[in-house]
Amino acid sequence: MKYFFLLIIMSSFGFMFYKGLKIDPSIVPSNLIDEETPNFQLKKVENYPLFDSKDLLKKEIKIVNFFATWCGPCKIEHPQLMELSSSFRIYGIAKKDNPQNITKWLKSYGNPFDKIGLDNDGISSIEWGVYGLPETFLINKDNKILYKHIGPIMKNDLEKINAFLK
Amino acid sequence: MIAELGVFFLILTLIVSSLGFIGPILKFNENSEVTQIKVSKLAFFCTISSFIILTYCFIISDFSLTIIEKNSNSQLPIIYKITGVWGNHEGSILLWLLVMTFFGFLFSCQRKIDAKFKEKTLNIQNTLIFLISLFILLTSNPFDRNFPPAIDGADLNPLLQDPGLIIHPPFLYLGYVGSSIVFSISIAILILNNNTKEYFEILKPWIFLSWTFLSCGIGLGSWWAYYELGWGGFWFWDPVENASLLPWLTSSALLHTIIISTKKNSLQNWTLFLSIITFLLSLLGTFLVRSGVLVSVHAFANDPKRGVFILLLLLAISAISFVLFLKRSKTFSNKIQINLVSREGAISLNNIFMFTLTFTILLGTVYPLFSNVIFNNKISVGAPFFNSILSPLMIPITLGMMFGPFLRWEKDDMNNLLSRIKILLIILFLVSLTVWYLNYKGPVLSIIFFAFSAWIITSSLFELSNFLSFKPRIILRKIPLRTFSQVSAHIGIALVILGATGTSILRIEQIQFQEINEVITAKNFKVKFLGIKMVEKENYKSQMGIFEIYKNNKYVKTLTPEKRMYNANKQVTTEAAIHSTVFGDLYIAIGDGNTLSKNSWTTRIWFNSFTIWIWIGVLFLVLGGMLSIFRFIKANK
Repeated sequence: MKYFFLLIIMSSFGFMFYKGLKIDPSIVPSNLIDEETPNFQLKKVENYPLFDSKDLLKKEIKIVNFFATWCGPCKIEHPQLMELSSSFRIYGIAKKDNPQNITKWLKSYGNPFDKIGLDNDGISSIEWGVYGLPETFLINKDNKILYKHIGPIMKNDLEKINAFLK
Repeated sequence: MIAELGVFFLILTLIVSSLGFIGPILKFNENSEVTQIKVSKLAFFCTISSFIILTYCFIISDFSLTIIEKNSNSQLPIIYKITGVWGNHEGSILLWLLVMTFFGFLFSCQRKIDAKFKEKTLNIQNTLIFLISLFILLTSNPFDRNFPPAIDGADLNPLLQDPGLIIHPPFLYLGYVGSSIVFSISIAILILNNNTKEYFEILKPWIFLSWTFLSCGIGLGSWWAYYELGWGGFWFWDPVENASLLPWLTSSALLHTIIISTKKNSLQNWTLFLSIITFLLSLLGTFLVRSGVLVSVHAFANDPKRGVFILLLLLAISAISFVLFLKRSKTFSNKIQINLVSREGAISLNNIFMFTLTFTILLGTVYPLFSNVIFNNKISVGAPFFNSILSPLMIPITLGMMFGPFLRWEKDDMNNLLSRIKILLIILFLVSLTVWYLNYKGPVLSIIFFAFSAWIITSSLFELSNFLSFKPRIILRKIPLRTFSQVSAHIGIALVILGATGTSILRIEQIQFQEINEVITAKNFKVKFLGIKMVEKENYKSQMGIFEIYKNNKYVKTLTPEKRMYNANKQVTTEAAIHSTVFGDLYIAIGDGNTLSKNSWTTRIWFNSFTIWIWIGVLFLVLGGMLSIFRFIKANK
């Protein structure tokens, strides 16, 4: 009997490890895909309208972008956001940043954002499952997340994103 | 040509070690003990020759070898050319084999062991050596040539161009692979089916030896990550870190049960079981690390073929040893009842908790893989899970460390114990009040863990004070080495708890754009940013931030964190700068410059409380282990 148990335990472990060898663990899809957007609360950045959960209820396709002025890749992505902003509403969430820097940043590079909010303690970023900057979410008209882009949106990513949005 | 000689020695190791299991079957020699001893020595000689040849190839930068082309560079300083030998998969598995043959060699030199037992142990060890050398030759030959040979190499990963790489992996392997000899001895005991105390006495020092090396290896790795790699912490619950922690936990449990087995003739079956499990966990760790089935910061290159081989090896060794254990364990179970209120009772109870901890950490480590395979669901199990299981389990483990040493062997009485330690209890109460008073504003968890740490230290010192006699003058009676090593190890754990609590719970972190001449305050330090300097070195260029540190408005020192860009592969690394004190570390790292203003840079400034005590704790642990080993050597003379 005990040998039988041993056999069962070992073969199931062996099976799982063997199967595991064929899976690439580094591919991590967002858990939030096809889910409704999480609730969040942000701080206002002066002179810019505050972005809050209600904005996502609008019956249209929209983009949520997590960025920070201290983040280098965010600067690389900025022109692409400007381009996207001509056809879609983009909402910005600045992570662990300060309002003066944000104002300076938007004045010198242009403002692609419809509304903006400051996530000072990083809690909203956790709600959205954001672990690095920049990250961008595409949201459909029913407030469900279509796609999550990790890292800066480059020129050649625009096609993929546009395809998604159409 | 010289590289071919390296392969030749590897093949020789394979052939020689195959006598480990062929020998007993063929019985071509009357005196098979001598054969096994010769095999062990020869295997060690062959492996070390092969290792030296590989090192030589690295030193002369023979880029016709694939691993040297991938992991070295002509500009690399000589010391990193040497450490580059184990800074890659193939070389590090060769180091594995070297350590394994080294332990076989050491055991073969040990005297006062009966011939049959020695022969069986070396049989097993040589069989393991055979399997690992087969693995190397089939899947990870370090002497593989590439054609046409490269002109220069791709460079050693910059993170590995660090003094930490010189010592961390070898020590870790000495501990990891050291458990192979513990395994071999235990299997030999099972095969001989002889429950004699003498065999367990032989097993004992090897457990202490591999445990000491493993503690040292893990401690060095943690130190390296924190001080040199600038990861900002000392422990991340990364699968690879867990893989080394698991055998450490079981061998810590083993350290305690072996004492009962040799002293009181009981729990032998549990001791054997833990020995087997410890080695299997080392193998499992190797599988997890080398096959790439889990996501880890230790991003080693991986190859599924290797994974399959190690998996088969792991399954075969587990199956054989578990079946053997199940068959023979009856011989090793004494029906002696263990009293809960006794030294054995405390150790057994603590063992249960340690084993629970091991099993839970194992589950947390492999669960993402299982969840992916069974439910097709990607999850990650991180620090919050591990911290939340560790915290409650620390309570019984702490209590055991505090009161266990005061319990009598075999049978004790609760009232009796209380009257013996009543002074200690009063002191503990005062200590708790002090801890609370010093830190009452801090988070509750930090107060609890600081108290744990203080309790263990207090009771350990109290244990030593029992050797003081006050009449007529204060005289210190001779303290047995055994007590010293136990007290040292327990204080070590207490200090690790102190440092870990301070670093993880009381950390202060500030990230900002810091203007030149701007002052940021962290705890009681003021950090003034003076600007960035460009520095050029042999194999990298670096942006060096210059920070002046003030404490109570007095200048303390200048710290220079760096961002380095390596020439050969254009990889960027962060070198943190740290000012360490006994109360905590000021830790500075620099990021990118502000794109909007030329005079400001992203800076991260931490204050980590009591961090240095983690490594002082590890030193105490290692000291405890070394004292024990010293005791065995003395007793054996």
